[in-house]
Amino acid sequence: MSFASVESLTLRHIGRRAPALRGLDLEWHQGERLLLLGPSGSGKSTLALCLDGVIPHSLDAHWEAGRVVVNGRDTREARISDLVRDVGILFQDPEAQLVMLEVDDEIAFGLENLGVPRDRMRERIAAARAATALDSSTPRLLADLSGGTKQRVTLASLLAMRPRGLVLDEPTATLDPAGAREVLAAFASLAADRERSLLIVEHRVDEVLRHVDRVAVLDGEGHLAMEGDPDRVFLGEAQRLRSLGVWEPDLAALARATGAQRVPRTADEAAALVTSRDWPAVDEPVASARGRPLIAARAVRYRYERASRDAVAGVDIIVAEGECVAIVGPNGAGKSTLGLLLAGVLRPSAGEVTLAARSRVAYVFQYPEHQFVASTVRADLRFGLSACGVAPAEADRRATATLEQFGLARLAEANPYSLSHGEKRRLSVASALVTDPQVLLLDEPTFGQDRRNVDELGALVDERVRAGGTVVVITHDLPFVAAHATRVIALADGRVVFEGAPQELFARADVLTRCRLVLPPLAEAFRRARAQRPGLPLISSRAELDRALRRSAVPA
Amino acid sequence: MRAWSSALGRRDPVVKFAVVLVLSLLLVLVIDPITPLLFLALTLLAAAALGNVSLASYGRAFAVLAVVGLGFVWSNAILASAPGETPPLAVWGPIRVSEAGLRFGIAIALRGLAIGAISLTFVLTTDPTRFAVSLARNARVPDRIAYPLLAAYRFLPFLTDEYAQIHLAQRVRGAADASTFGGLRRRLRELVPLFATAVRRATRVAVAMDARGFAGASSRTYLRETPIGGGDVVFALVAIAGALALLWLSASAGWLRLWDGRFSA
Repeated sequence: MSFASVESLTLRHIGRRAPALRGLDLEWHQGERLLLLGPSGSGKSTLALCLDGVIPHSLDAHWEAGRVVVNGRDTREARISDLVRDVGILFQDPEAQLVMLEVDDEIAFGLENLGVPRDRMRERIAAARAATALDSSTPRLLADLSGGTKQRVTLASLLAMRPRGLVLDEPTATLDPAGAREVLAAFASLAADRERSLLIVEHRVDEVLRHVDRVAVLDGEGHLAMEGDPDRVFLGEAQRLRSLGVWEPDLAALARATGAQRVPRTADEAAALVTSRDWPAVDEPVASARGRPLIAARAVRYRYERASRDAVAGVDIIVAEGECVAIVGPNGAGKSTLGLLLAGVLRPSAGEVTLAARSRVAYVFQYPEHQFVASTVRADLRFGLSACGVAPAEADRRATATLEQFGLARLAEANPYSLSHGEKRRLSVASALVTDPQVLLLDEPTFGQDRRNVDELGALVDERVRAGGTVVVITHDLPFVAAHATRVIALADGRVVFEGAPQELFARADVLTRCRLVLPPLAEAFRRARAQRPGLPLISSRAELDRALRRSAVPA
Repeated sequence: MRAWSSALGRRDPVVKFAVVLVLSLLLVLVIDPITPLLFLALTLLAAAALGNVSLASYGRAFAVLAVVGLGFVWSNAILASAPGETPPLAVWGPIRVSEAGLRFGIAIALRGLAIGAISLTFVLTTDPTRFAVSLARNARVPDRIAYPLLAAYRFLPFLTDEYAQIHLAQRVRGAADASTFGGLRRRLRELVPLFATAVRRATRVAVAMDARGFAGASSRTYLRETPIGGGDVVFALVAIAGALALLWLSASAGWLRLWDGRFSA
């Protein structure tokens, strides 16, 4: 039975020429747990907003054709106060959806809007807290909570309203790995009790796969590209998914490599697949001879004005030519501060940072928009060049070449703010690289990016490192680290707690826990398998898996 | 938060707000330096004894008010003198410092300090959530205004952090514009991304509120009780009686002077 159905929906946002959704047909069955995927800009969030009536009741849009029926009601004819009783929606960023200052007030907010009497509210708040594991040890003030816990509070506030369906629109996109795990655990328990229809948009596919019944994929134009059983979609349509730029489970690649008909849902299942075939030996990571030191930090400390402790509390590191150093660690560990110190943007309170002669560091911030300085893409590129004293004619030539290289030529005269998510990221990297710095420093470059953008960025990093350039990446994204970093530095409380190859980090459960990191699914599978069969290689990323498969395809 | 559960903290925020308004209006009429000092002392005493507020919390705010206050003292001292009335205290070239002007300036500065202390006591002892709910329920302010006020309260620290980030991010782009208006141009450039993120975030919060039924809520209920009780009435009466008593004390000692509509003393 259908819970919600979207019928030939075409919808265009105000001020946009292209529709966000085009002739979209989608069924969401009663009690079904549906995973919705698509590249960024494919209309996933627009669809989510249509399902609970925010579009068109609260956000205006050009509704060009079709209709959305939820629980038997046409959403355009129903009142929003009725629609929000049927479907709750959890957005990406907890900060952009919390209204109140305290946990219980936040959970009550929706109930108050529904006019639930006060004595009933207390019971419903208690039930919602229990369902999301918010116990009495949870601090009262929202400001004291971590991102993951804040997101659980928002989830609780939706559950308290007792909707029959719940849409989760990239609920972990702004969280660190441990926070994401917290929220996904809450999702798992909702999925297990099967009381509601669930629709989740999530790119950590490996972690949600075992909780969903069906997958629907949108393409870049707002059409439904494919839908169906997860195993059929991920094993049968891999090529198509890749060309759409849609995340697929890493473990699907493992399933294909071993000829399995099912994508493993758990680490043990994956480990069993690993042991089911032979693997060529993979070179164990060797500490490669490092090039000339470019940046040296000695006993560096930094304390922000009015802070009670050092953000960076005595760090010694060297960044050398030709390496990709990943800096990992929990939120608030001082990663970005250290990055700013290495880039010379901040001056250390104690200790010193020295940069090799004639070297420059370009720093790319997490949010590309923060760094836009001009009103066209071309002018933004030229800005850095003229700041470096490059002559106008030469600056023109280099800007044009960089526009071509980054696929931004057709957007040269566009306003940077009008670009898509991926284009903004590309521009911010291009603006940093146009001046040809010796060190490129990227702060959380993969945050909230779709697969195509992450792959593009990974290729760029590899290429620079191969050419002898140096990249420093501040990130929580261990799959990215596994695939591209040559060395990892883990920070906690402003100090270095680990330094070594990615493989060595993955073997250190203590460091991973302390840094709120989660082992990538492939790394976990191969580690478990190796515990059973010691000779197996340690593979932790898609890139390594592909390399190993290529090697075994060629008979020795 | 400790201050929120103190005797002052438990009073209804709207009643407290009304008392702050009345006291401030009374003080606006006072133009002698001693009466504001009496108000200041009583306020700090009440804040410490009934509000559980540490007096150190006033330090920073007072430093700012003191700078503004000194500006008042100076400008009044040199400007508020009517030439020929009384001999000036000092003459430096064209600048004549009159005694009356100086006294008026000091009075205005202390008055600012006293009103500042009263307002800050309100801020420090008031739980913002209760204030918003009480505004909606007791002062009949529409929910559409009271709740966004809370959201705005959450917004301020976010904007400060965001601005610091943007400032660094733009500095990294390496524009040390040394021309006359370079600094100004840089500031303006930093405001663009700040404005963009602020608007986007405000829109998102508004959408999230509507998605939880804020739009179209017809018979809203409230988790928090905010009845105005006997304690609140007593508090208001005592506070206003206290203020009147101070005014009487100051008048009978001959210190009190009220504003008569002229910008001079």
